[in-house]
Amino acid sequence: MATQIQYDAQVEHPRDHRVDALIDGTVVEVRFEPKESSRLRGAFMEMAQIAMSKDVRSVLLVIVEPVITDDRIRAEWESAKGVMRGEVRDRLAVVVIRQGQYSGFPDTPPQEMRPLIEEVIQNVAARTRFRHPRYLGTYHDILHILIHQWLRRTGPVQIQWLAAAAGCTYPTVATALERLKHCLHRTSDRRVELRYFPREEWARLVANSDDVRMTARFVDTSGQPRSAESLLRRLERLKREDLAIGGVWGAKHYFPDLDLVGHPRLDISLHCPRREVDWSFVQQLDPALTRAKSRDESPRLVVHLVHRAESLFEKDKSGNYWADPVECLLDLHESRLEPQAQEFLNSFRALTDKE
Amino acid sequence: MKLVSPKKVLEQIAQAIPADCRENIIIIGSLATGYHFFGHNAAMMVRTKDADCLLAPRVKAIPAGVAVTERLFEEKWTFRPDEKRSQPGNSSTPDDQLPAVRLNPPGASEWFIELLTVPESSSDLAQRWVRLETRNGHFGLCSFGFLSLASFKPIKTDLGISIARPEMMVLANLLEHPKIGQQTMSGLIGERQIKRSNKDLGRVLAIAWLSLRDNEDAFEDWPKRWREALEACFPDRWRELASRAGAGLRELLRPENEPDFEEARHTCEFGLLASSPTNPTQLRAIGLRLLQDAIEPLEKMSATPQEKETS
Repeated sequence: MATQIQYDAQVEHPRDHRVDALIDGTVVEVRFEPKESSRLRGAFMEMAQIAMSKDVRSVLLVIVEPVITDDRIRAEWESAKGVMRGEVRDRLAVVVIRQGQYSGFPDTPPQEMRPLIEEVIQNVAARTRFRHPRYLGTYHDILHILIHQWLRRTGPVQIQWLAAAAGCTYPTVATALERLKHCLHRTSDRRVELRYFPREEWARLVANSDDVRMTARFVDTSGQPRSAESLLRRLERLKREDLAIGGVWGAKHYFPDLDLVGHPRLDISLHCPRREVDWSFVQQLDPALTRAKSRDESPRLVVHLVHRAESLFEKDKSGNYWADPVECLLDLHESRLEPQAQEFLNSFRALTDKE
Repeated sequence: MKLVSPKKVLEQIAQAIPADCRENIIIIGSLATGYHFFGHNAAMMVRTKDADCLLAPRVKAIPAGVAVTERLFEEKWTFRPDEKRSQPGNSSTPDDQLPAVRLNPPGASEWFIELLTVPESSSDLAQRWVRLETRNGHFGLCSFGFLSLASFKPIKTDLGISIARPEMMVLANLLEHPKIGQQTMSGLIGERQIKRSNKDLGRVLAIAWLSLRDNEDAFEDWPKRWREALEACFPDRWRELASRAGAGLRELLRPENEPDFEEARHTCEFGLLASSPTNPTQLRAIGLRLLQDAIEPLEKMSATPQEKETS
């Protein structure tokens, strides 16, 4: 079973406070690039308050790429500890990450915990639009690319290629591959591929898909919603290379026999490797669309951001771009079309077998 | 203003006017719109007080106007007096003081028919009156502005008379109001004093709303049809007209003009959309779609020299 990470979770103390993540009773709070001691002091005191919550066993503060020195951080920590009660203080820990190197107090976190910490960082980075290249969902991008290659049966790929496709460095890929080693096949010439479909990792990606892909939902405000077909026709007319059709249409593009009738919404993947998103195309598709305020609203248009360097989009003869099959699979999950997602996954491999 | 059934009113008009004049009659305004969008349903009502009948082409307007007026009087339709004119004019009444042909049907005062005609020249958009000498007195036949657009390729009904195309009424209203004017309607609409431009631009939004209800991509054909109509009706200045078609609507949709927009919405609620109320957000969204799908492509056409089509 994959470890359950609860993001943006509510705790008892401080009142109405939501923590970045909750993992088996451990709260993980992330602070990016703290520049001032006062901000850290505040974070330490907040940790102490969180630790007083009934269901919280421990609190971990993850400080990512701090601008202040480790000595300064430690001094602030010692000072904060001095005013905490023992039973609270003993349940707190701090991790500092600089250039991928972990340190911490009272202790450096164990190796097996790091993938979870990385995952939380990437999730929070995606939500807060933290722009440090190291924490831009690269692990999920690498997983995504590997699954794509596995579905397509393209065979093993070089790590350099993976790094270029994901838009990250060799060490970052190496870290991601380490996390995936249980399902990897490495060739003698140092190329890699998945040995099988990594269900646990996939489940985690599906669970975090909204945050990783920074999914944006748009709802109709006109009272006369445009059909998904009409939105699609307009998208095709835009002729943009960075917008690809995904969702049910995308899935049917790859697997026309998919058991689905009707299109309640249009899923689009937007390639933005530089992370600068121009949303004006939404108004071009329909000026009556507006960002949904909650997930309960029924969206007409759903946009997923693709941050990796290589979009993996496929261009057809008409000049339309299609999101890659993994993106479409995620879209099916996101639409709660679980049986169709399973059917798509099974059929895709069967289809590529024949090819 | 009363709620009336467009189907019933048009049937009554068609029945009353001479058969050989029916082909020169084009119903415009809210009754035409109502008949177009829900004419099949006698239960659907629009709130209006007048049935505007356009006599076209211009060369046949006077004989047709005389024939229609006399026949309606024969059929016991009655002159509808207003504050200025209590009875039809005569040979000594000056042209600009002649009453319009406004007649109530027998036994009903909730609505009246009004005869209008298209301007004589495409370069003259001012309000003009032409004398109609009938057995029942002298009347004025009014023409103004962009009424010729409403007579472009009208839709023939089973009743023998025609109705204006909704998109042509939209274009005529858009061109009539390149900005929000200060002139107000003579009567109250839903107990409120409303600016004429807000009422007419409200009608634009109402027709747009109804058009999209029937066909979600309805606007996409409009720029082409609008261009065709403008080229036919205003061959010398169609580009200039096309380039400013959206000015008034844009002004209405600006957030700072919320009170004007609210007046426009109010007229929809008390007019064409009486049976399908909309909120301001919905109506604004429809306005934005109209701008994007119909008006902007038309404006683009106006700026493209010698090209027949851009879309």
